[in-house]
Amino acid sequence: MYKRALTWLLRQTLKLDVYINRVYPTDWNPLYYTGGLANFFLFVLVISGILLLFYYVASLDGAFASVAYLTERVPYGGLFRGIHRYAADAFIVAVLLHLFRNWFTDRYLFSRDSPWISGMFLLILGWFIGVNGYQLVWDQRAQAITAIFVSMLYAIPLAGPPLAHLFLGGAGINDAMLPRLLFLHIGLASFLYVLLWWHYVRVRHPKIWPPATWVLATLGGIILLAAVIPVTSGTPAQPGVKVVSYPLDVFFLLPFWLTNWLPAGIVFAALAALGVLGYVIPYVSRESEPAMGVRHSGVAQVIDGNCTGCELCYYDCPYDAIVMVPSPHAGLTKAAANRKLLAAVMDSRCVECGICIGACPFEALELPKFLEADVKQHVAQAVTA
Amino acid sequence: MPKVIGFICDWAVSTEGLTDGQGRLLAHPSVSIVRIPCSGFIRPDWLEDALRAGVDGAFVTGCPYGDCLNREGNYLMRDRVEQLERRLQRRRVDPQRVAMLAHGLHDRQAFLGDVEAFVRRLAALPAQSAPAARPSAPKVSASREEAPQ
Amino acid sequence: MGKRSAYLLAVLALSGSSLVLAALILFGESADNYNLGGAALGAILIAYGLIGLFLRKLGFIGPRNAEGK
Repeated sequence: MYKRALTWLLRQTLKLDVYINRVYPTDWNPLYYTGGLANFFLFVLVISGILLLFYYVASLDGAFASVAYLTERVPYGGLFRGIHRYAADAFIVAVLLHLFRNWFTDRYLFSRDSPWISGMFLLILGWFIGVNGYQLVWDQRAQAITAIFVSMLYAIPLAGPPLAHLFLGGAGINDAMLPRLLFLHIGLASFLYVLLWWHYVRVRHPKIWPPATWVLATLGGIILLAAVIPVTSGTPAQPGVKVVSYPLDVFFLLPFWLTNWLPAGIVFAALAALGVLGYVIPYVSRESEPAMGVRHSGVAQVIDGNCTGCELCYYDCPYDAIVMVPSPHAGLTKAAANRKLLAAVMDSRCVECGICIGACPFEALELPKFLEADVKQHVAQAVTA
Repeated sequence: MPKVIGFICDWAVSTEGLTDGQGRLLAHPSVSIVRIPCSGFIRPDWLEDALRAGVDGAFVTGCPYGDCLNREGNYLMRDRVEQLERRLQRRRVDPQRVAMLAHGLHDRQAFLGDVEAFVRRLAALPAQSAPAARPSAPKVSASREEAPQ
Repeated sequence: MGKRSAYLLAVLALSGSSLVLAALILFGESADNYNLGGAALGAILIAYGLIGLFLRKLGFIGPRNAEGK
C-alpha cells in the first residue's frame, strides 16, 4: 500500500518535471533546486532580519510601537518588513517542496537518512522560528498565538508547566517574555546554520544556491509582493483582552487555527506525532526496501591489488564515502606497484550507486552484485542477438 | 542494422513495454538495453571494449542533467564520455559510435527519437574497420588520459 | 526561426520595460514613495530573471551544451 502510493507519487513528481523542463533548461528546473532555494530564502531572511533588528524594541510597551515606527516612518522599512515576512513564507514552501520531492523520489535511502534527519530538525525549528516572528510584533494576533502556544505547553504532562514558565520568563505574560522570544528567534535562526552543516556534511558538492534566473525572479517576486501587499500589524495587544479573530498565515499558523475546534493539547500531540512520523520515514521504507524495487548492488568494494591510489573515485563519490588512506603495502599490478595511497570505502556512507566504478580506470572497484563480468556478458549477448 | 548496446540508469527513462524479454528494443531489435544502478556506474573502457567485441555503437542514458538521483552521476558520465570520444579518436575509432543521452522517467518518445537518430548515425558510418588492438599496458596509459581536467 | 525571433523580441521588450522600471525606482526614491520604488525594484529583478532565461534559450549564456545537442 505504502509502496504503491510512493511509486505513484514518484511517477507524478517526475511527470511534473516533464512540463517544467519544456519551459526551462533541465538544469534550471526550480524543482531541482528546492534545497538551494530554501537556503537562498534563509539568506534573505538573515539580511532583512538584521536590518529589522536595528529598530526593534523587545518590551511589551515598546514592541508594537517600534514595529509601527519601522513600518511607517523608516525609509523602505515597511518594504524590508514585507521582505522578511514573505521570504519566511517562501522558505517554508521551499522546505516543504524539498521534503516531499526527496521523499517521493527515494532520495533518503541507504546512508542518506542523515540529511533526512537533519532536515526534519531544520523544518521543525524553522517553523518554530516563524511562529516566534509573529509573536515579536506583539499585536493581538501575537497575543492570541502566545496564549494558544502556552496552553499547548501546559498540555504536556509533567514537563509542561515548567516549560511554559521558562518560555514566558514567569508565571504569566510579563516583560521578560519578549527578550526571550527575540533570543529564540535570532539564536535558533543562527543554530539553523549549524544544522545546515550537518545537512551538507556528507554531500560532496551540495547545490546550495539556485541558478541566477531563479535568484532574480524569486527575490523580485518577494520584493514586489512586499511593495504591492504591504505587511501590517493588527491592533496592539492588550493584556486581559480575549482575541477572537486574527489574520491567518497558512504557512506557519495553521496549527493555531485548528485550536478553534480541538483542544490545544490534542493539536500539539498531533503535531508531535507528525514530527515523529517524519523522522521515521527513512526507516519505515528501509524495511520494505526489497519490495520497493530498489536495486541492491552491494557496497562498493576496493580491489586492493589494482588500486593505484590515484584518487579519481575519491573525487567523484557524491557522498564522500571513499577516503584515501596511506597504503600499507604495494599493489599487485605494475600501475599499483608504487602507490602511496589506497582507496577505502566507508560502508556506512555508501549508497551503492556505482559512480566510483565508472571513475576507476584501473579495475580496482566493483559492485559485488553487478560485476564487470556481468556487463561483459550483456555485451556478448548484444553481439550475438 | 547496426548492433547497439544501451546502458540505462534505473531511475532514468522507463523502458517498460518498450523491450522484449531479452532486453531488445521492440522498435529497433538490434538495440539491446541493460539497466544499471546509475549512469555513472559505466566505466568508459567498457564502452570501448563493447565496440571491440563487435557492437557497432554504445550509449549511456542518465536522468535529465540537474536531476541525478545520485546527485551528479549523469554530469560525471557526460564528462567521461567526452573524454572517451577524444580517446577513441586517437585510436582511429569513430567517436560517433558512443553517445550520452539524458531522459527522465516519462521521456520515452524523446528517448526513442534519440535512439533512432543514433542508429541512423551508425548506419551512415563506414563499416567498422577492426579497431586497433588496445595498447599493451592499457591501465598505465589510461591513467594519463582519465585524469580530471 | 520563429521561436528564436520571439525570444529576441521578448528580450528587447523586457530590456525596454526594465529601463522604464529603473526610471520608476528613481522616481519613487525622489518622491519618497517607497512602495512604488520597491514594486519597480521587484519587477525589474523578475524582468532580469526572464531576460536570463531567454538569453539561455537563445544560447548566449549558460553552461556549455547542457541539452546535449
